Amino acid sequence: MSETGSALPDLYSPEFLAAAQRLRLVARRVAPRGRFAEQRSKSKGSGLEFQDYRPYTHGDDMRAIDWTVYRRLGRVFVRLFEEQEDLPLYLLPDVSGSLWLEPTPRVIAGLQATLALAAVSLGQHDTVGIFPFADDLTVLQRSTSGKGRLASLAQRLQSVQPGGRTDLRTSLKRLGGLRLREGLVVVVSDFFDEGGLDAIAEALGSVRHRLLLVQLVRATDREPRALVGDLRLVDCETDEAHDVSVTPQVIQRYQAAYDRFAEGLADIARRRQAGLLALDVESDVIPQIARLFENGRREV
Amino acid sequence: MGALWIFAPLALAPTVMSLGLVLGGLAGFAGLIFALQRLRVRHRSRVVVTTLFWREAVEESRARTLVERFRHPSTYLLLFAIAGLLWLSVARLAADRSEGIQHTFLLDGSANMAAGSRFEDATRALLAALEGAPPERTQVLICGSTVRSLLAPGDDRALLKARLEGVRPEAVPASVERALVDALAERRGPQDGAASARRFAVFGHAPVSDEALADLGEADVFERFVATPGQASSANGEASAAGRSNLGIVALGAAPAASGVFDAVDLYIEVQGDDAKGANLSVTLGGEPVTLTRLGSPQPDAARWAVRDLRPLEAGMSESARTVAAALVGATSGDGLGFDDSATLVLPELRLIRVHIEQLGSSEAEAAIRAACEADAAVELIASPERADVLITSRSLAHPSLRVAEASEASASIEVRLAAGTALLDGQVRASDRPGHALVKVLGELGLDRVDATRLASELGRPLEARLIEGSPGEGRSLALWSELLRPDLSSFTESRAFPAVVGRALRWLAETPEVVPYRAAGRPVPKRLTGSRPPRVDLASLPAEPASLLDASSTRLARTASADGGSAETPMDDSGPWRLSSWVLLIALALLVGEWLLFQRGRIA
Repeated sequence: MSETGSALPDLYSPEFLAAAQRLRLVARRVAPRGRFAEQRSKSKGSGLEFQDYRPYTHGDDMRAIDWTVYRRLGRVFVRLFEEQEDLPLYLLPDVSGSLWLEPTPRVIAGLQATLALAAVSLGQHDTVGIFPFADDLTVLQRSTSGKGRLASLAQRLQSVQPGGRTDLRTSLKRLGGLRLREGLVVVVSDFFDEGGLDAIAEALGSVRHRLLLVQLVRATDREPRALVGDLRLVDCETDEAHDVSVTPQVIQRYQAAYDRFAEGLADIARRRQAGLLALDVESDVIPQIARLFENGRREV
Repeated sequence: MGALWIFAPLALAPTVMSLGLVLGGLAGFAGLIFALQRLRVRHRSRVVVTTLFWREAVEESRARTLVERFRHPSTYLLLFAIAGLLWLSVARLAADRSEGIQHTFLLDGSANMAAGSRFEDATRALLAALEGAPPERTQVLICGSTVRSLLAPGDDRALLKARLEGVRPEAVPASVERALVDALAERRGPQDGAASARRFAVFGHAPVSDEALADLGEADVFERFVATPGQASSANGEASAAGRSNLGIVALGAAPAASGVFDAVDLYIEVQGDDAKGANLSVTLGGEPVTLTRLGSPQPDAARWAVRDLRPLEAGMSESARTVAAALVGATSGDGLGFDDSATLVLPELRLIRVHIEQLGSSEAEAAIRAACEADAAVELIASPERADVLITSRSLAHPSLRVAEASEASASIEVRLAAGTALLDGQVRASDRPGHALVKVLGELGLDRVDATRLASELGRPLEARLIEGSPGEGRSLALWSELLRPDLSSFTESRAFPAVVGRALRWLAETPEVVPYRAAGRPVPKRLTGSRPPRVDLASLPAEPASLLDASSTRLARTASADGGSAETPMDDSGPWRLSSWVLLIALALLVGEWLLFQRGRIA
């Protein structure tokens, strides 16, 4: 475990929360039910924002008839507006052992990213659920909305405890069992699952929600300069030990293996039409998430 | 392997292990540590977030070779230094290379060692010399009145100090030579060969003759440790003046007065030393000074005195009143050896012999005997036979008796009867042992050997015969004489000068009175004739129980010689103390071990 142990430092300063509010999240696809929200939807209905015309059919709202078009074309068309419906955001922060190990644990950046995304959704009147996972999924906050809920979410995230091993299959299977309204599932993790890419692909393949993968990375993942000589490397989650004599050749092979993993993860995201954000845990979280959403909105 | 040069001087120093084993052990440690350096992989444990990628990287790598190149020479040298020093400590570097040699240390505990601090110096030298001897082949003997083992081979040396507690030199002659002779005699045998070489080390001043040393084998070693010249000390612990010679009493004896007086003794005193002629001697009896008569002495370093007819000696006197004390006084006292400056002798309590004379068959014999008894100051004639020590009778009695028998009743003209197993006066001859020899001794004790037997036989018209008869157990002594010997008309025996002496000796013999006092002379056995019922004895290991003298004349001479010469050719005592080379080696090894641990903890060495 990291030096912080189970006691996290103060994760959320007022500046952080204010910066998080400025992020906007736009979903490509929203569920047909629910309250109106500021999310762009593919559904063309009687929302607030004009999107397109279509011919009048029996039963259409008369108020939607565009009479200007009728005078020009002599045909009756109705105006179509973008349906702004809420996009449930399901945040899955990884709290397994690997995120707590290092001097600056990745769990700090992971939980900050989680709250930042939660702040965005709450600011857009979306519902937010938080489900920390490790070897299994837990429910920290099933579903909540309203900007005023941010503080309580921050408090709950602050009290998160370390979990065990990383098991995406079990965790996402548990998520599926919750029968949540279709929304956006954001997995915030280092994706160091013992089952490797196959397990990750299988786990993500079972998710019926839209996906955003936030991979917590740091430079030493690919370049472990502190590891030299004859070492017995012990996995912090599985306690498996491997004797390694670190030589330049071994480092090369290690980096090749890491690159294959990164490529594999990107490939999985592409196949699932999921977004993939590599979040550098050594840098500020908000700017990195902001780059994910250009111009205040991002279609996912 | 240059590190081996570090150990060259240490390894070549004497050890209790063989040189080959020591060097072999060092080389073995060098090779072992070298092999461990090349074979051992030191894995430092590190916890990482994941080993996924390391697994893949390692699986792709080639198999590790068994042997690596030699690394970390400084660490290797340090470990070899530690291992080598510990090995040498196990080898127990010692000052004496004594491979296979049996060590016998002889500590002189005789009177000679009582001078000053000789015994303490010898003990310290013994303990220091013991450090260099292998415990499994070393024994320590203390040579005093007996030769005792203080440390047997294999004993823990810590026991020696405890066993030396309270051990002091004894007022006995030196027995070191005897112990050496016995030790050499034990070694002789067909199974012993050159491999059983022995080292004998004498700690003290006991003399060892050249004859005893002649039995040493070619491989044997004899050493003597004496005090360093100039460090001799006097009896009171202060350094004595250089060149002062020792003077000592070497003989003090008493014998029945030559004058024949019952209650008087003659004393004899002998002093030896360079200043013997000028010695000032004081002799007292019960604290009262007695007058000495100087005797001539053929030896230039000896002086002799006598005291004639020392009296009175009365019955019932206390032991202190019967103690004769001789001492050197004045300028001749306080020399290097205090033992021989004084000597004491306790005279036995002499008592009157109660004699009852029964009616004898011959009035002449009775009168002659009565007259002899009345003339003897040691004899008291009593009327009651019950209280008598000796009965003079014509009957045959179990009671001690002087019997005047008719010729037909006695088997011989002189018949001596002793109970079976009864020892004679000197305890050396029993009635059942060689009867002729015993008879001669008895006749000598009785003074009958001085009787003109030929003349008496001529007067009696028959030969005189003496016979020793073994009596029944519990039966008292008896002496039977023909009555004819005591009839003046038939024999001149009663008119001879021997008759009173014979009667007196006979009564003393029959009463078994303590006859003489012990006679003690340095280096000379006590004359058997003069020993009493409890002769003074000094037991020496492997020697028969033979009366011997209190002091060793050679001790007196040696004490004189050592203090006068101021020097010795023997090996001086080495008071090097308890720290020996192996202790320092072990200490250095432990210091290096602590240093290695500290460096390893700080990551300074591999």
